[in-house]
Amino acid sequence: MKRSGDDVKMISGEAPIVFSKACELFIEELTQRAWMVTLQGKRRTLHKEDVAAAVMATDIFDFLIEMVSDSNGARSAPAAKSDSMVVER
Amino acid sequence: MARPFSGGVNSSQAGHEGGVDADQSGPAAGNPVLPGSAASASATSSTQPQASNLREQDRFMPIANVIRIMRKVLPLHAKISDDAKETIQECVSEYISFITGEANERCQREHRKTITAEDVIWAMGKLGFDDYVAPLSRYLQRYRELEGDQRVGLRGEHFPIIKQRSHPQISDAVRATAVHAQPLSMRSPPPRAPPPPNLVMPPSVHPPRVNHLFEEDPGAGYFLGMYLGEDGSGSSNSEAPPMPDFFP
Repeated sequence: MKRSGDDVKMISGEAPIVFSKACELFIEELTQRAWMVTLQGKRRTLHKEDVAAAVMATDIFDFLIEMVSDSNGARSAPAAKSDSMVVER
Repeated sequence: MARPFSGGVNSSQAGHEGGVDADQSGPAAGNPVLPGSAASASATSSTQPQASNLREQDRFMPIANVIRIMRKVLPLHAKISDDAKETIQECVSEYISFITGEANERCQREHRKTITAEDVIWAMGKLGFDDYVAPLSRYLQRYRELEGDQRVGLRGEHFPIIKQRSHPQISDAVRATAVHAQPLSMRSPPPRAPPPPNLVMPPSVHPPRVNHLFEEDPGAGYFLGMYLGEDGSGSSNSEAPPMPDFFP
């Protein structure tokens, strides 16, 4: 077992309990803000771009800027467009 | 317009496409907290998988849950594109890493080894999620009350009265046995339950066993449950608290 103060961290059993609720609040807030962008565009389908716009408009979501501005997220190779990208006319 | 349909989130990713950055998973201990992940109470960094070897199911929260929460706040007629769902799913993982990283730094500064629920809540306040602090604190408090109530009726007292929620299966015989417990035997250290196998467990199913956050001696609460197990029904193991699952 490593010495205390080292990298190795343990996490209490309650922390995930808090996180589960926090993630719920986070998803709700991000979704609501994104939906407001959707409504401004007079649309009824929430797109990734709406999420990106919500992130840009909210200070506390600054840590997500890079993630939403990379048009393919973390899932596919940078060069290729994701198949699930929606094109709207 | 025809919408290119990926056929579901995970079907488009047969496996890892190598596009994952190491920073996706955050600091060493900051992986998303998921069943089976390395962020369990007994994990060490030597057992953590490389970031690039993590499966999608280990990097993100289950998308069905993400979608369900999204739908809670959207009108019924709203539609959600697949890429929006995936994006939010990724954002959640990023959020967990972000918060955990801050909480972790605080623990390091204070030379503590374990990230507590308070650290997590503190980190959220520090990183701008002030609005979450109060609801989360209440949620945590309520959770603790529920868990404590299930395990122990009377902390710090030394007579064997077992406070239980009324349970139809508890027989009078068992109660009587418990009442006759010898105070002396309560002083011996009870066998400890193994550490929580995993952090992600719904409170209603399985209360956490030993939690360093509980300052008082956890043996008191444990003991009452274990005493029943040893003496009474015999149908449960000695580690089980006097809970619904105590009676099969």
